[in-house]
Amino acid sequence: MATLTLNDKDRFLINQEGQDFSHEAKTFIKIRELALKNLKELDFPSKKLEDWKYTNVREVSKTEFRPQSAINIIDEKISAHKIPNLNAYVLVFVNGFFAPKYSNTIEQKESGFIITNLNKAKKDFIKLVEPHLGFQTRAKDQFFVNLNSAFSQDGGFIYVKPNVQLDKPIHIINLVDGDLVASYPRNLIIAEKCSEVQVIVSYETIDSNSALSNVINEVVVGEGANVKLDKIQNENLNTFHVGADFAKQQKNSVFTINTIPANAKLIRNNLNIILDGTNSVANLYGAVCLNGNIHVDNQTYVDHAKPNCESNELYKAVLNDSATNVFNGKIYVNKIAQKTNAFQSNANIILSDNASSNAKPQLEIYADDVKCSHGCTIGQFDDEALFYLRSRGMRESTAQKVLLDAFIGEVLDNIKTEPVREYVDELIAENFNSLN
Amino acid sequence: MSMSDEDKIIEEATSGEYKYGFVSNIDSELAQKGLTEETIRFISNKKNEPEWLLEWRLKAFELWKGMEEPNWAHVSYPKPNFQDIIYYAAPKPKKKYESLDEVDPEILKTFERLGVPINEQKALAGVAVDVVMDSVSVATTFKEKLSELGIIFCSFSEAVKEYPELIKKYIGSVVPQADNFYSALNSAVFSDGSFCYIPKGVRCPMELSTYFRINEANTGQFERTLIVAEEGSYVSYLEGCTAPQRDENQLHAAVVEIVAMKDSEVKYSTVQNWYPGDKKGRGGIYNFVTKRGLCAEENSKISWTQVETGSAVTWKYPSCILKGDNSVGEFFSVAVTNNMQQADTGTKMIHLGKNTKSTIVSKGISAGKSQNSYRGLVKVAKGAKGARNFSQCDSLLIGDRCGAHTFPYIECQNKSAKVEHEATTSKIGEDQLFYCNQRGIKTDKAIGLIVNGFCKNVMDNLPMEFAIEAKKLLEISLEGSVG
Repeated sequence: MATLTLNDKDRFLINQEGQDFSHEAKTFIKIRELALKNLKELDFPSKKLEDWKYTNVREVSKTEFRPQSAINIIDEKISAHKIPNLNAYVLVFVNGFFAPKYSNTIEQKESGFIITNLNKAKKDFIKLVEPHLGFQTRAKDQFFVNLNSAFSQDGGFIYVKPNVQLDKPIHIINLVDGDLVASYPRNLIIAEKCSEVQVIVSYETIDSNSALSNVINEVVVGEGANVKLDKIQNENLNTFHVGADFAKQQKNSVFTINTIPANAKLIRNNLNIILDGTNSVANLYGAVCLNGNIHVDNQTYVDHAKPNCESNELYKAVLNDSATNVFNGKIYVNKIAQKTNAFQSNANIILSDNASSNAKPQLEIYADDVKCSHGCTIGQFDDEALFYLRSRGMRESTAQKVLLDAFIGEVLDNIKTEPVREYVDELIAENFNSLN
Repeated sequence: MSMSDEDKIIEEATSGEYKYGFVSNIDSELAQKGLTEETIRFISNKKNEPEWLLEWRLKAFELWKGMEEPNWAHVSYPKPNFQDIIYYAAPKPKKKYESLDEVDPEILKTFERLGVPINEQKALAGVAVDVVMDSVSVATTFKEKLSELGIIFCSFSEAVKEYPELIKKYIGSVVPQADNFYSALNSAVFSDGSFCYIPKGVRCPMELSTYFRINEANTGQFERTLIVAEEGSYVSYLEGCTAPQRDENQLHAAVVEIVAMKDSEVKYSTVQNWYPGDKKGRGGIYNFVTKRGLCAEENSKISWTQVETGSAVTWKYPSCILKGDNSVGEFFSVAVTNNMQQADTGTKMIHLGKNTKSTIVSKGISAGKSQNSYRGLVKVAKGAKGARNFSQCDSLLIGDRCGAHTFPYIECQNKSAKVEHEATTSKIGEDQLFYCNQRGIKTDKAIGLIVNGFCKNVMDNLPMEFAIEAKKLLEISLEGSVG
């Protein structure tokens, strides 16, 4: 009898099936179907692919992750993951599913904005969702993006009307609870003309079970709008986190993203920014402070599609123990994007012989009247600076911490909300308590 | 400067025709088209090679058959048909030449038209020229002077006969047959090349130089160069090439291997000016070269300097494996692309030994509709304590239809290494041009001035007499806007 042999990818995909999306509008089902079709054709990412050269996700395909809804959510467990002292609209998702009990939704027509879950928006605000959902994520070649598009359970939906500035930030908390959970949260943020909004997205786990977080943030930045996105990734050391962020900017807009990968077993972030209107500015910041065996891979792609735009990229990493950091940044300047200013900088400090750092800062330029630069350094603490502090009676470990704070502070200073900054500082400090 | 002026200059800059395009009529002996085991046996037999080398070639051929052409480079071109290439062409042997008078006057004329007459060079700079016309060396000069010092500088096939132990020991030791698609191909069918051996403690008193030319239409050129520098020795090696105009794409897949022992230094300079194809991108040479140096022992140094102005498609990454402690690797490069040329070039610095150092300075200039990419790897292994690297890649764009790209890979696996990489891309500044114009320097002269300044710290690393030629090539490549 002939037996059908299934490979790891097929088995993995079968495990993700079983969710019922038939209640959704046709247009959204189409997105899922297209993604499924792509998944069938794509290989599971392996080191053979240039984009996955330094990051091995083979274990993900071999583990029996599946979508599961959380049972027995305990109030205290949820509140433990709120950012202290942060005054914000909160949306909570557990295992990718919406938890209305802990969330503040705003859906009234008279208010200048909508904050709700995506599934609700797909029904009630279909006219707002339809033109944007899935448009930036149609990339055929990204396995994990298609995976989320196909199986995403729910996520946050934020819509800001023209000329509206939100009075306080929005905090989207994504939690994972249970064993071998595959969670696919997907947020859609739409900022209309000249509006302003700040969104903090945090990813955390309730227990220490192994999990897969495959997340997407889709951001539409309207003309003259200003959107800030802070991403805090603080999951348990058995969790794989693969995320992608997409932003499309209209003219005169500003988009800023702060990425803080703090804890997990493996974190991969793909940032895709399209500067699709003149005079727009994109800022990408990342602070990577790692110890233990954590592997972090930040990939950025900034597409200068229109003239007179600016992009600033600053990624800094401090690596201890056996941590690995990967930075792969690409600036693409289109033929017509004259007068582009694009800057990219990646600095690494390696504290241990077992830690390693891989960088691939790339420029691809087809216009001539541009100023583009990238820099990459890998090194250690400045001996003279250390000596200066030591000569003033500081212990070596304290002196190192002072230098670390200064080094990573340059990136963290871009987090302007005080409680968020404090929360992040604490996460990073915990990672370097062991510093001797 | 008005827009139309600028357009005009770009137009002029991109219309420079290849000056060294001519064919000299020399009777040559050709192998059958195509590549089979038979072809390899034919080449080996023609060259009276020993059995072990034939075996070595056949093994490479076996490996090659199982390999695929690499396609990761940022270039696109119609893939060469490997069965449509003549793998062996040699000027008919006239036995050995005692003096230059015996050399075919046609060959000598060719070199005179190139502006590098052997006679003059002999006297002029004290350069020993090992002339490689198509695939076989036909004239070797200054040999006696070198042999007094124990330096071996001869064609590869001669070395196979006279110094089989040395060849056996070092061939494929830096670039193994299976290294990549084109190195495997070269290992299978290489026709000739140069061999250079500097014995212990000898400082080579003159620059060693080889001129390569592709002469026979439809001939793939598969050179193989091997340089071995023993303990405490020094050599400066020059390689330069100009090729006649051709409409069909020609393949050039050379292999260069350098081995540097304790305290030795090898300086390898290249001026490359293969036929780049016409303005519409027809014809031109495919240049797929594997160049690699091994700093095998401590305190050794290998330095690559290259000026690349030719070829339709270039795919070249001169590399250093810094195995010995305190060894040093250097890479200085100017790559100019014009019209439809495509270049994907750079270097690899693999730090294995302690306190190893590497410097990379790469200058890319793109004009016309060309694409110019830098691709480099700096790898610091765990054991390379105190390793140090500095890389700088600058690109200059002339005209708005070209592209300049940078793809550096930086891998670091220990805590005492310092790695720096910086890259910039810009065009010639309007303020710079204005400054020159204001002082009465015409725009095209000013561009020449700026381009020369842009490349200066690479050009400074070329040997004197080479630097002059390199500057000439640069001017031809960007003619109209330069000089």
